[in-house]
Amino acid sequence: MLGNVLVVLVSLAVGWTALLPVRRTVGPYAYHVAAMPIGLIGWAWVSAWTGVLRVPYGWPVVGGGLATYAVLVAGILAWRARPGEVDFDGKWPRFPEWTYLVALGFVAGTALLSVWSRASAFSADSWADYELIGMRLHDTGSLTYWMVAIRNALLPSVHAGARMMGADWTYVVYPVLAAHVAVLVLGEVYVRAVVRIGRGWGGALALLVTGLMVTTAPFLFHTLYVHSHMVSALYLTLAVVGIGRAYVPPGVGFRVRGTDVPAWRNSWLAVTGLAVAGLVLARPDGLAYAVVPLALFAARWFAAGMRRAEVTTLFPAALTVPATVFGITLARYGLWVQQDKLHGAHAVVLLACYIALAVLLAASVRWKLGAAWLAQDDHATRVTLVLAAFGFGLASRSVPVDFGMAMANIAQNLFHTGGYNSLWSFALGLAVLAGVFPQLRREPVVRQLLVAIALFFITAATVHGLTHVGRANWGDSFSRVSFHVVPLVFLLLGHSASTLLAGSRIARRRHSTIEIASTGHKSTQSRTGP
Amino acid sequence: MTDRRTSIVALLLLGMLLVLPLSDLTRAHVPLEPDLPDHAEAWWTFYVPQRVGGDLLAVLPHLPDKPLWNPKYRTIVLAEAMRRSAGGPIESLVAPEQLALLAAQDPSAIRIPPLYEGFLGRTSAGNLTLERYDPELPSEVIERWRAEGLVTDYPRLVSLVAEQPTGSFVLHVDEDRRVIYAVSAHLSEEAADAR
Repeated sequence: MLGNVLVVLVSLAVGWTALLPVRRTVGPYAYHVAAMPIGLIGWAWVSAWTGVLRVPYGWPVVGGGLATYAVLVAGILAWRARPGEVDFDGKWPRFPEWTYLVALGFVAGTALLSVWSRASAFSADSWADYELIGMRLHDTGSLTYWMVAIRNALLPSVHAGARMMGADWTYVVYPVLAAHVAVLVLGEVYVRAVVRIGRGWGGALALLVTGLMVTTAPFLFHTLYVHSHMVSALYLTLAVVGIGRAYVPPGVGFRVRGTDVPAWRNSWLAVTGLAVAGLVLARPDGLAYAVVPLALFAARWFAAGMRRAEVTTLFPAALTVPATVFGITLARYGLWVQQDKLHGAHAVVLLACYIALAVLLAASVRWKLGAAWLAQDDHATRVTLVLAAFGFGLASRSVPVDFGMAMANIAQNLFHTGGYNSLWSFALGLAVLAGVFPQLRREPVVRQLLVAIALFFITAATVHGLTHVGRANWGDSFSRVSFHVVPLVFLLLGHSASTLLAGSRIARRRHSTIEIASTGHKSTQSRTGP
Repeated sequence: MTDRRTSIVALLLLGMLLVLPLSDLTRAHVPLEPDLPDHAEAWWTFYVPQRVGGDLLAVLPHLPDKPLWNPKYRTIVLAEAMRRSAGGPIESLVAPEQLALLAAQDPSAIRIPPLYEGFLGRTSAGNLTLERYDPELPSEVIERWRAEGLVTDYPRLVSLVAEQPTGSFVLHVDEDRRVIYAVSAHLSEEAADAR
């Protein structure tokens, strides 16, 4: 029991330390919600170095590794995300220290609830891979290429860490991650809804949306399932929410007050970058799914003034730890080959593509090649989607027979055999609704979520079309992977509902003082409801 | 006004869509039996969660019984038995070069499968040595150890023999090749000398 709880609490402490430089700019809510997942990435960092040092897991090396990770991340954030452009009398907003107790209570409470329930769900992947690779990692400290290839570094390292602290079967971290997803969705829906429809309606809507999400069968299952899906869903959601907060601030006072836009954006993009790092390391195909937040960022970035500092904030945060993990593995084993999972060459090519994207974006600030056109009318987003569709088309032509069978299984699982019940029919209807009605289509956050969901499905279908024919049941890889965007679907529901409630004037803020965050200037607006 | 009307229409349509997830909830039921529902229309088609706490050995009985997986189950039980005695990683493990020597001869005995070499390596902290030796233990030796209270039995026909907590083991099997014995290196030597 102790190891299961301790690994979560240690991760929380590491995350708190790592995110210290941005805690005031992102505010207590985001700081605490992001802390545990960001701290969790530290375990992958530890494994990368225990392999180099050739020492098994033990407190000195793990403590040193986690401390190094926290200092490294805090250093990147202090260097990039806090450019010292705050203009409110040279003071940072006050950070309520008591929120640490609330966050600790939430994380420890969820962990203890899980211990009390003793419940977990598992398949062969859970015990044969995550737990046993964690065991091997704990015993030898050696993160080998086959571990990275079949399960990547993050979760086996977390299992190794829990084992070091006395756990025999690591399961508590998964419900804790699920609780983070729920709180993230709850907070995000509320923060944006409260601007449009006031606190009462906003609170009720946020509770309804989150309640609906957590009572779906796949969410309940993945809450307890010892696998990579809840953690991937959390990192993807955090990354997409981070980009949304950076470029489409909620508008209400909250944390925007007193903080200028560059500092606000950079801080959120730093959190986004770290979430991308988690997404990359959570699964062997995580490197491919990182294209979703990175492409989303690139599209928003063109339309939002093309500040080079934003590129040089997000990409170092996103790629430093994964590049270290993959770099060390490649240095030790060369270009490894692993049947039907992550090959060394895949890792090199995808990392190189992301680095090239960062260089291209940074360079385009100077060269302006087509940048003005990309910045207009969301052209960058359209180009991103067309490129993704083109990639999908190319993949479908490269292995036409298997690809077709894979697509058939994907459709079958989404709408019938994957265990999702009506969820994807509902999501499809919601997406059509948001695409058809201009009130929703015009809303930047709604549009961003639609693009993120579309990009994710195109990427996942391409990856699985190329590598798995699949099978028609819930255990199919694509079927399980599609869970990663479920929180985004419920965010889409929440934002769409609050937009329409405000537009229909059924619910609207009666009177408000709004700070316009996008300009960085304080101004007051009054809106009167019916 | 047009915008307001359109919003109301869109809101009504959104409300209609919400019927889908809400109707799912009316069917919400996680089967209490561990068998999977055999039709895709069930609300819960996933594996049923189990209350196993933090015990890896408690996980195994809840897994589907597949002949292909039985060697893996048995190897994990064996590894857990030795790790519990060691209080951590296994310090040294000697196994016969031919792991099949530890398995039942009767091919129908799928519940008494051979060990899975991949897992033996994965769980033994890199301290596995394969040697050429006869792993069979005489019945009288096993009986003596049992009488002395040195034998701890585990599921899947695995037993551990040790006088005190230790991390060094040699793998043996009884004369029928049914039960695998993880014998502390010290006792294994004694048994070999006695033979």
